[in-house]
Amino acid sequence: MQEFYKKLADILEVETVSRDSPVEDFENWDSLGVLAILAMIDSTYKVSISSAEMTKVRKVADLEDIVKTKMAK
Amino acid sequence: MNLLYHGRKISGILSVLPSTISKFDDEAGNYSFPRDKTMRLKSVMGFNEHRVVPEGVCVSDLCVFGIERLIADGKLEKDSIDAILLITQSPDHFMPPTSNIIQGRLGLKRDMICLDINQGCAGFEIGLLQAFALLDQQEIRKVLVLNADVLSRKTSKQDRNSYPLIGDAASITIVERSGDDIPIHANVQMDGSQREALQIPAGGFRIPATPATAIMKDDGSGNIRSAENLVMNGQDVFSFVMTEVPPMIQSLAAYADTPLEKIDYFLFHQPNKFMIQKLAEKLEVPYEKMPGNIVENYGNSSGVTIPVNVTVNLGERAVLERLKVCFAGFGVGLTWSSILMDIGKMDFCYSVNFE
Repeated sequence: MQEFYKKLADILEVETVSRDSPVEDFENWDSLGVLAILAMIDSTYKVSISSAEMTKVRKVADLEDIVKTKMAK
Repeated sequence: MNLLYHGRKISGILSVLPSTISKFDDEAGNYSFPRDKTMRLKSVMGFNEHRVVPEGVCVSDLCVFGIERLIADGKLEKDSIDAILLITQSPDHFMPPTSNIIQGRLGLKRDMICLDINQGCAGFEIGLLQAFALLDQQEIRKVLVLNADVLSRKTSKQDRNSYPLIGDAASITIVERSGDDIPIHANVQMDGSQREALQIPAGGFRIPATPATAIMKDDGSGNIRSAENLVMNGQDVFSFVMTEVPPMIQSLAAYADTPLEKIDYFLFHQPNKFMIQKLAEKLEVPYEKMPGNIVENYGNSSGVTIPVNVTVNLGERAVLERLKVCFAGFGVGLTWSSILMDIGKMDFCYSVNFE
């Protein structure tokens, strides 16, 4: 999932992101940022995430886990 | 479900666009967000200009204006109209049907059928499918499909989630029997379990309008609206579109035995530019075959974006040429529908400003 972190960092316009990064610390984690992330996850990992699932995401790890769980199905 | 029709054609489309142009740059100060954050949305989502009706203008005003223009331009004879199908979510009144209001205001013949259909983003497809079916009746020769909405009047100017993209418009599409046997393939799907993704919660019978429903509140993310305003869960709508629309188009193409490369244009509903680009990428269709310029220049007028797409982007070409096109609408309901058909050799295809 190295690629996942790289793509997230690009969208959020930061140097790096790590599993423990709280998402609310990112200035670009707003409606547009979240939409861009959903689009990236959809095109790269072919999974779709609902707004209800997204609101539960506190750290980058939570998002990564959702993607992994959905990909395994 | 898959649907199949034969011997139907679109013989003309007129779009009616309000003259009032509202600019995103001028509206940025209405939102509670910092200006630089708001401006980030501009290029990505395609927020630029949108057309909104002046205070008090209703759906029947736009439709009557357009039909009178067609009659004046010699494109339509008043007595030839056998049916009016009005697809709108912003009727003049709860009762009577707005299509009857249009009939009465124009003084059309009584020997006809008027129907209001409550559909939005997929309203162009739903209207066409109903028109195709009505034309099974020998006495029905000419159906006017009217798509019209003035939802800017129900959208909070302080809601950055919806106001920058909302647009008002109307279109008049004439549908008739074609005299040939060329098939028209279509499909339609609905999912009312996701009905809350796009809605106007209050003002109907379930939650009547009261002083309490008119109170403007922050929704927790900085957008301010009342329960009587249009509200959209943008993330869920995006996920729905990305999940459902590409397979619908693939399945329609397979049903019609037509590879996507053989389709000249993908004329899709335009919620915002971002979504259209992502759909083109997912379907591996070149951007120029799937125009995304309507929402940034006119706004998202619900079911009217597709006819506006045709009159603005094809215009005279729809009169002079024959083209294989795929229409697709998706949104409120949830409803998603697509039609693969030949269009062209129309009697007219143009836009006018409502004055």
